[in-house]
Amino acid sequence: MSVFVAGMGAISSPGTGVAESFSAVISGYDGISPLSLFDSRLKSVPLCTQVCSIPEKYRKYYRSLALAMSAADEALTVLPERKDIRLGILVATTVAGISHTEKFYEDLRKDPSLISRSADEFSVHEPTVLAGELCRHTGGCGFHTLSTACSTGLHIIGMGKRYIEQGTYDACLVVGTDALSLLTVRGFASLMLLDPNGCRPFDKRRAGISLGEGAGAMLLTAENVLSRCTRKPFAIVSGWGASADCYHMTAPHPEGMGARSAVKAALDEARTEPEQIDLIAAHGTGTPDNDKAEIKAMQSVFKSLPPFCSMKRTLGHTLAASGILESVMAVNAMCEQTVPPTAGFEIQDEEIGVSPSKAIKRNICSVLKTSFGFGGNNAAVIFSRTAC
Amino acid sequence: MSRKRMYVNGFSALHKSGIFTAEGLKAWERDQNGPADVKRDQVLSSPYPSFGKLNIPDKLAFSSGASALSKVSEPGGDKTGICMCIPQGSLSTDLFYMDSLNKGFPSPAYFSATLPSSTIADLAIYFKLKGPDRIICGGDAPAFSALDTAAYWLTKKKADKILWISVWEKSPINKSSESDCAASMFLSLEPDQDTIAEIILDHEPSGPVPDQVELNEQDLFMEVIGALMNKEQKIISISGSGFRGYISLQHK
Amino acid sequence: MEKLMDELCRKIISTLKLSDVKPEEVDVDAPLIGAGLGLDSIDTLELLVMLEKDYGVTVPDVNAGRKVFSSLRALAQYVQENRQKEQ
Repeated sequence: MSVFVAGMGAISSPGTGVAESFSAVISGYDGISPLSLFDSRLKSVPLCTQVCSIPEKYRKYYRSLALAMSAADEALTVLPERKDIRLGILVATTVAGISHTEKFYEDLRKDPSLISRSADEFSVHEPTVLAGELCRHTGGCGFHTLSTACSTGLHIIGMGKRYIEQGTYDACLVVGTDALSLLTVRGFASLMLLDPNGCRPFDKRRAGISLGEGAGAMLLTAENVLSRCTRKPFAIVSGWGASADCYHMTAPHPEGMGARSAVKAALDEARTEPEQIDLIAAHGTGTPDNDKAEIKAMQSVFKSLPPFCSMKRTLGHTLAASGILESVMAVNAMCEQTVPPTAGFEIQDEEIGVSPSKAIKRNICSVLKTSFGFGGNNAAVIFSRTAC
Repeated sequence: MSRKRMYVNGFSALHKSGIFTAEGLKAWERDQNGPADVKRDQVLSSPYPSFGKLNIPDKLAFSSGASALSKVSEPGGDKTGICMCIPQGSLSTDLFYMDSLNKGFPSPAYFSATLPSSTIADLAIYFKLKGPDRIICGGDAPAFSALDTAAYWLTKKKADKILWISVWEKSPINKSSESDCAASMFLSLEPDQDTIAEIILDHEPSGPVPDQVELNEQDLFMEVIGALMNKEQKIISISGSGFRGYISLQHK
Repeated sequence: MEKLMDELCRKIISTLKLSDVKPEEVDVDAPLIGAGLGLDSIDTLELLVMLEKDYGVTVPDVNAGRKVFSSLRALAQYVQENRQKEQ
């Protein structure tokens, strides 16, 4: 049974909506700027991507929920009549409502009498609450949340695919969302993973990540729902795979062994040979370890490496949202038959030995998207064109 | 829901009443208030210096998982995965981290522990479990959702063994929340020398269904663990969004 | 110096919550990272935070860090020298 990408939504630093966000990606736009949303209390202000404009109707909600609603609503525009459709809401997020609760916790430390409000104020802390709100907002009949750090977005695509194949739901709205917060900025700084010059994926001088915020959404459907959609589907989710590195809490396996397993599992499920992959939308965070390990993993799978790119300098590292947001961009690249460039890359690293592609027109029938999370949690998804 | 059969090759639970294993229920020692006070040598025979570093949810998950794997002949493997559910997320660890940040010295260790993935990473690294792993942290019936995911991965040969774990941590904010608890089952698609019982997920029960009091997921799954420990047959009904079904347990 | 090594050993054990490790069993000349105590990169970062918080001592770069954590004796030497400089 095929599972289709019927609708897509996005909100990112460079754009509200899929079209604006993709336009930035395809032009190699440099999305980073000094953090201005809040004071990080770091000696030098980190470079991040920040969503400048959240549509007015969502601004009353806490940040990660507002971003999720914006992307979700855009994805659902293709299915306006859906009362009789069993719609599952699947959410990927690491921070959930932390931007709200960390402010309250600071107020609580200064004024302990606020403890009487703590149950209410902390209620938005957990991902499940965000998913529940999104379910109510979209008219879903069930909701699920996953949290495996940066690989979560691709995990929920796999989960959505499974639920539709099993007949649990007729359609699944998979949404990845993360907002900048003091906890994450200071946390990555304490692990010395932020590049003070902004991320430079696969570049010889790369020194770390640039955090970002945003949301991506995909409406996945069974074939029998497509006739209810206002347009033809964008792609098919043809394969999914996952694995564990068993190596370290925050560093990837140096040979990319776990990443290799995840990609092979996705290829097996998609019944696709490596040479049939026309584009790799890499995780490409810009850390010395990740980028090197990722290419080693790819080179162990692909005899001849297809064009690859990273979107992290344009969109930022949006953590749990990255898998879905970048998948939306990757599917757009496939629809436009154009390989995106990699903003932030200039000089090839001899140790890696290959460079990401420039922007080129190319026949793209299948695209591989990879994501690797803390704890060595790896995931890979293959999207294929509906007609090739 | 289509019928899925799995085999249970090891199990354990840490509950307020004690540690549940195939050897029976072992009560907590005098200096232990409950699962959060579990000691390394109660669940793992070899030394493990990192045990003391684990925050409460990680310790609950690691201890329950390690105990379930303790008698298994070959726990590790390229296609052995973990499917975990932690409905309350990471609030307690997030607060520890926020405290360290507010004192001016944010702790890298606390930060990396704020991700629920750190829990399964400790287990995966220690036991060399290289298959797919996933954490469900909310939604309808998350523990069942994790068990259903395990069954699916086994059926689709994404993994040949799965360690299913469910962690319920007492909320640091809500004093009347459920007490700490963690349950684990080591599952496979085919029976082997370690197999204790067969577990079936289906929309129909595999036998007569006893009257069931409305229970939360923690209590429902503790019924399953209790039945494994006492070598009893058990059928319980589960419902959540998109499904209504039964878990049927049959001893070997 | 012996006193400082013992103090640092106990601080390492308590900061990193290393259970099953007794201070008297730690070899003062064994590497702290990898072999020996088997500390990893996150442990190293935690110790850098501890050194700054409790001793006012910072480590300027990765190369200096390798020497500082090459053994408990090397760490104690570094703290003693830099404590004096910063007082």
